[in-house]
Amino acid sequence: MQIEVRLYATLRQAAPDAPAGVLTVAASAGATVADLLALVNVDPAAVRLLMVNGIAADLGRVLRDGDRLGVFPPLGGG
Amino acid sequence: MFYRVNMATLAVSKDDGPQYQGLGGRALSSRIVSAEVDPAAHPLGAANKLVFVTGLLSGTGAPNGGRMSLGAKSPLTGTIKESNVGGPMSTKLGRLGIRGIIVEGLPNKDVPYVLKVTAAGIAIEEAPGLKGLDIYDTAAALQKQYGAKAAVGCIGTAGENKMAQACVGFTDMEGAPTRQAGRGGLGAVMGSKGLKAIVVDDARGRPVSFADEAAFRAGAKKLSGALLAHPVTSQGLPTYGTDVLANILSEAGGLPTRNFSSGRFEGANNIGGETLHATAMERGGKTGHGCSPGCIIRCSNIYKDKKGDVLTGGFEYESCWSLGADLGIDNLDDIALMNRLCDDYGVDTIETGVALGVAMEAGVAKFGDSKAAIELIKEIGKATPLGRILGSGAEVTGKAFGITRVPTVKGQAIPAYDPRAVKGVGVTYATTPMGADHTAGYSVTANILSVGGKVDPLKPEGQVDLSRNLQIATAFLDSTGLCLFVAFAVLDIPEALEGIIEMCNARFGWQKTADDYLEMGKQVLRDERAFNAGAGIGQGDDDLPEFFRKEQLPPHNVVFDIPKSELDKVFNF
Ligand code: SF4
Repeated sequence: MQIEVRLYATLRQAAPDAPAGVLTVAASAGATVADLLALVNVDPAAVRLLMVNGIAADLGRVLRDGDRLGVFPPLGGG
Repeated sequence: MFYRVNMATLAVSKDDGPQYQGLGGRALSSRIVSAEVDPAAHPLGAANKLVFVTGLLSGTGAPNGGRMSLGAKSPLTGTIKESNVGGPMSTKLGRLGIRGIIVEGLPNKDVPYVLKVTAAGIAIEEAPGLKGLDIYDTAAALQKQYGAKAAVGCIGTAGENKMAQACVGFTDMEGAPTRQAGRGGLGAVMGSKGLKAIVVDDARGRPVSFADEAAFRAGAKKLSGALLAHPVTSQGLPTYGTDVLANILSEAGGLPTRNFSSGRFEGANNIGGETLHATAMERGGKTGHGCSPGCIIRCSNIYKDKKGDVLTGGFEYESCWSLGADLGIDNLDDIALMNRLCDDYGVDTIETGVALGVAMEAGVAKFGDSKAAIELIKEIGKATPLGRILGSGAEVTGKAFGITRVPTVKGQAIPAYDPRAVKGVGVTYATTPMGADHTAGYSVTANILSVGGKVDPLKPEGQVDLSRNLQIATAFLDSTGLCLFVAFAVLDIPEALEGIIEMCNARFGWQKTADDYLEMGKQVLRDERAFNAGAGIGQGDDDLPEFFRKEQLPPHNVVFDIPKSELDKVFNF
């Protein structure tokens, strides 16, 4: 299956060539968010926010073909 | 020390303000306005007062303790208004021992006045040469006259023209007027009083005294330790600034796009903090810029154009959104120019962007057309009839063009988080006495950022409690003179709040507890609501515009579904 992984802020260092931090990653069926992070070489300890299709998710969440995974370090603003 | 400046008689008096002891910042400005201004007064009339006050910790060197509060009855909302701002002015006032300047009455003569504040007191000076100047030129002229080190706060032509959403611009640490008391039209109140500028020179000012200096230092260390430990205040904000939120909110489906018709913007990355940071670095600009003395977080920035000339500074998420996503615009250079024009004419970027979004909805220009948006902002500078409509804010613009999707509460534009997809901040917009204001109770923390716990942003449950607690805590923090961004550390690291309490107690010799300070926050909200009730703005006004409950917001296709009866429970204390 294909997952669209979107890396933000400092996490883009894991994929410096991906335009705007967006990668399309092939994963096997049943892959979790944690599996995807391993595939794109992002250390889960550096991650604070995870969103699947715009909704907060955790590392154990099982992904489906076509899902959009947003990955952020700790961030804030106002 | 409190100064009263009467613009009708041009007399200045001073007193100790015994009735205002124990108060600072928003608690002080809202108390003065509610005690001294008739709620029925016209905001631009003789009975309104404009107050400039320092926070409890101003001038002490407290970490991130550089905020100053302005207060008055707002011409935009008709409510009480507190708008706080960075830059060095509050620190200088603190060192001069000044807790408040209360500007009263209306002038008899049509000439711009400048308040010159020094260790010798306050002088009112005529400044005919400043008439019709915008903020950058005004600040430069005053620095030439009073010295580069003086802190300047001034209005542009929008304030002189008494436009309801005019702001007051303040100089930053480098003397550029990149900081604004932006919201609620206090620039128009200043304009009505003939006051073009306030200039503060703290030469011969003295260090603030402490009841217990060692205890103060220990408290300051706790707060600075927390700010340096929390990843948001030590890494995220200094690197990317507040605009890092653009991608987060778009990903979460809560970035209001094209006048609040979608929650996700395909151009979000082009206007987000990552792009802003990369562009600033490439052109020799700066991120990690501190706007006021003692700022540890340094969320501000300096943004240069393609030629390498400084275009704007203090380029915030709210502005990148209001002048960007809300207009369907993703050209960051054009947005930076709009930000500069707003800062120069002296209008609020949030209100201006949302007003433009409403005007685009009406077909005045096309969404996405940044050149047309720039020209519309220039109309504000020229004070044409169209410029005056936009300069009166989003609600007036909606009425002028017969538009129903007008995102305002109590006449003030809703900022950069769609309340349908970030429901906790929706509760704050609906209920804060300020009119729609994200900073009054920033539920985005627990809704989106996983700071201070987690509350699902799409569900109604838990939002009222979240907003209430944040509104109370914020009303206290806004009274200390601390920058609100310390809240990220306060919400996650217990030492941060301990440090704040210890600093306030040590400054004044108090023994107050956290509960006492939260009671101060509650009292601020009671004062403000009592004023609003007197002005005819009551609980019935605590709601969002109808369309948020009826129109679904993509991509999550959600509406705002917190019942009005639940909103009415926010102020149950
Ligand atoms: S954190 Fe940002 S807004 Fe707050 S004082 Fe520092 S630069 Fe100014």
